[in-house]
This record gives sequence, C-alpha cells and structure tokens, in this order.
Amino acid sequence: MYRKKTRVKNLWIISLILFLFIALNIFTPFSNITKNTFLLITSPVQRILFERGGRLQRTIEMFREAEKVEEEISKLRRENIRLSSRLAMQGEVKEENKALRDALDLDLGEEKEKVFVEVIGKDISRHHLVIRHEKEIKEGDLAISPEGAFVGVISKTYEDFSNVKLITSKKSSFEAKVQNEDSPIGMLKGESGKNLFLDLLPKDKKIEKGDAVVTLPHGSVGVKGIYIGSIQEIIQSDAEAFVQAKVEPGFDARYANFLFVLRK
Amino acid sequence: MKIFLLFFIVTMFAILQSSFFIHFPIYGLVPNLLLALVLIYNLLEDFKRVEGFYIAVFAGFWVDVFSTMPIGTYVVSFLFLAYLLKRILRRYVEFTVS
Repeated sequence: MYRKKTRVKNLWIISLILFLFIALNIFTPFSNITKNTFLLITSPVQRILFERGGRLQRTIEMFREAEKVEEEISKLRRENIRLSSRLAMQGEVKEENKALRDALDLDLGEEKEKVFVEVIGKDISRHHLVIRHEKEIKEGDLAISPEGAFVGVISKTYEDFSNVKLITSKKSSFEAKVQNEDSPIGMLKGESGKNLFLDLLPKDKKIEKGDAVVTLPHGSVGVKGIYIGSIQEIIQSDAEAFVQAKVEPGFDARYANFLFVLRK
Repeated sequence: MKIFLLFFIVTMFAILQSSFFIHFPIYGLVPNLLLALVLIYNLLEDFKRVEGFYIAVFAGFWVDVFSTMPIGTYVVSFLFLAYLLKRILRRYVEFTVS
C-alpha cells in the first residue's frame, strides 16, 4: 500500500516537472527570461574560468609545441612584412578610391555599428559561443574578432546574453569568395573542428594556397569583404566537377575573450 | 538542505563544463561532465532513493541554459535516462549484502 502511494507521488512530481518545462517553452519569453537570469547569475564566475581555461590551454600547447615556436615566429615575421606592404599599398588605393568617389560624387556609405561583447563560455555542443552584451543586438547580426576575422552569426538573443553560431559549426554554410584575380565563389561549410571546407569552386578558376577567403554582400551573411580565413589545402579530383579547398579560419575560439558584433 | 547542496554541486559542474573544460577537448570532443554525473550517481545510488532524479533535473536544466535548445529538452532526456537506469538496476541487478 505504502509502495503504491510513493509510486503515485513520484509520478505526480515527474508529471508536474514535465508540465512546467512544456509550459516554459510555450511561453517563449518566459523561457528566455529564465535563461537570461541564470546566465546573469553565473557569468562573473564563468568569465574568469573561461579566461583562465584558455590561458592554461595555451600554456600546455606552448610546452607541447616548443620546437615549432621558432619556425612559427620567423614565418609570422615574414607574414607581417608581407601584410604591412599590402596594407601600405591598400592605403594608396583607398586614397585614390576616395578621390575618385569624391570626383564622381558617389556616396561612401555608412560604416556598420560595432557592439563590444564579452565571451563567457561555449555551449555543450561547442558549436555556439555564449556572449554577454550591454547594447541590444539582433539575431542574424555578425560576430567578428578584434582583428576583424569572421566568427559567426548571432543565432539566439536574450536580454543580456546571446548565442553565436560559429562558422566552424557543422550547421553553418554560406557563400564565400576567394580573393584573387579570378575571384571564384564557393560554398563554405563548417567541419565541426578547427577547419572550414570550401566546396563547389569552379574548376576553370585559379586558386592558390594562402589565398584569402572573404564574405559576399548577398546570401545569409549579407556584408561583403569580412576576412574568413586562408586556403590551406586544395583538393582536386578528375572525377569531381568542382574543386574543393580546406580553409584555415582567421579566428580561433580558444583565444576569444572579446568580440565585436556588426549590427546589420 | 540536501537538495540545495545537490543543486550547488551540479551548478559548479555546469559552470566548469561550459567555461573551463571546454578548452580541453580529447580527440576533438569535450567530455560531458553533467551526463557523467547523472550516470554515475544513478548507477551507484540505491534504486529506492530519489536524489538521482533531482540530479538529472538540475543537470538537464543547466545544460538547457547553456545550450541553444529550448528549456526542458535535456531535463526530459536526463530524467528519462535516470529512470531507465533505476529500472534496469531494480529488475536485473542484485547486490548481495554481507
């Protein structure tokens, strides 16, 4: 008799919990408020742990790859010089463009507003970053690193927090352009790891290792020229109608404590 | 009192999981501490006790908070898992008392 009573009681408790959670989801704003409140409570501790974890991970990696560091430094020095010269050249071109636009009376266009956000963690699937923001941002806005590399798209927003769907997520795919003379366009997909996969590139267009990959003004991203990464490996097969390429993202989620959100 | 303590422990696990251990993947995967906690607690606990269910609800709730899934998805999954484990233990596993 007693056992039957306990069983009925447990069944009631479980039913009540299930009912509560279903009700929470029907009234979505309430669900969002719940998530926002609990994230707000835990965010100070999370922020510290996220930063410390990243630092510890980098230290471990440094010890593990000590031999490679020297080689990497010289490679970075060369890359730095190359980029500086390219930047200087771009400055000249920019001035020329401005002069031409002024002469032709063309609108230069307004720069997109950037919102500073803090990274406090990652979700369990590791496809989303959890960010904290003080200004309002909307779903579909773009997250970029302080260096200007594309990080992902805002997938869900709450009052003070949002989720960023990383471009490396398997669920992420959008059109991107390889920045060279031929400007081939392909479909960029996340590989759930560190790399990206650029598919459906035309065979007749030239692609080289190290070429930059940038966003396009149309499609789901909608802002042109944001740096995504560089071509790491070109996969060519006679049987395939298109060329594929592995892209190394310009953003590493391990080093991300702060980001900017471009409001569309 | 015990429920609050359990909630606190699960909360600590959830915070560590989503902000600290996320930096240390093993072969590209991060072990799900909360799932492990639910499994271990329910496996080791006497099947007549109910704390395992509380752990499942709290753990599921935190995973829901840190994920993009609607609240309740992991709560229901973890609760079902805990129930299944207890049922299997009760029906098929016998512990000898010496």
